[in-house]
Amino acid sequence: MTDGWDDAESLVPLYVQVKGRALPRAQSTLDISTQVLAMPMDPSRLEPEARRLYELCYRWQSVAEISAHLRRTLTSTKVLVDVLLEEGYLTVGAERPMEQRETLQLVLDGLLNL
Amino acid sequence: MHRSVKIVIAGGFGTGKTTLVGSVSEIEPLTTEETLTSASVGIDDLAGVESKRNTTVALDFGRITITDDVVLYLFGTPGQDRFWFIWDELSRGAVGAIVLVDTRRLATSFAAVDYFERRGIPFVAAVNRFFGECPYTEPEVREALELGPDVPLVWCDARDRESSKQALVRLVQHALSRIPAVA
Repeated sequence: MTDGWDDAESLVPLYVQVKGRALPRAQSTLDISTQVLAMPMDPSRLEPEARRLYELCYRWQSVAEISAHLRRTLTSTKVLVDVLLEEGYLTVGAERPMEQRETLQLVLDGLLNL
Repeated sequence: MHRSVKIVIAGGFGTGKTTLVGSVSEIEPLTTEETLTSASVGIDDLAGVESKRNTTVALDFGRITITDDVVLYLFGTPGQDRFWFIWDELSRGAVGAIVLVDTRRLATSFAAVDYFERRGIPFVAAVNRFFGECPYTEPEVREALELGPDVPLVWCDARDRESSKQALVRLVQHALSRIPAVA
């Protein structure tokens, strides 16, 4: 559909790229909107793409934003994020998007003040 | 705790979803993609490579920073209605949805109305005025879309930031009204 997306994936199977993983860990609840942040670690040992991901996350970034910037599909982005979470390179905010009253009230106030 | 909130921007093809996302987002809308294998679209015919060819769907999204630790993401649904598993991912935990409506082609938004109605996800229908004056009255639009009496119907211009913002405000108010007050 879009030129240049996931070129690497068409040549190398996903499981080879991400440490033998094709899916996030079973207990992973990463959502498209889950935000992650880089932890103070030395990224020099990371593979280039993992390192790019890590460096993107010097500010909070959602899985969707990382996917867009790295031009990786959502699923393969989740796998890579999950690996970096497991290895301690990233930390996660609230895993699930929030829908409680208190959060909705914050969102409503925020929108009204835009 | 750093938190994210999702709102789904739905509606048929060409109803202005990306326009609405772009008019209120603080960033240029970004595009992400998902590859659907035959398994994800429910095809279980394993004979032949043809049936296993991947399909790619693109979705556009934007963001609005609400506070230092709360970010609202606006996700436009893919143009094609049939990729429901993407809709499920977008809707999981979402505040709700805005279903954009083009009154010249009401039927294109019908699938979206049906999707959110069936799942009990709060949504508002937003008639996009971009397409010119609406020739129908509110009751006519409601009837054509088979909207429940509690579903808000708003008129908006997806190109206009203030107008798009009002549609989002109406949705969040509607979602709030459905949460029982804490005693």
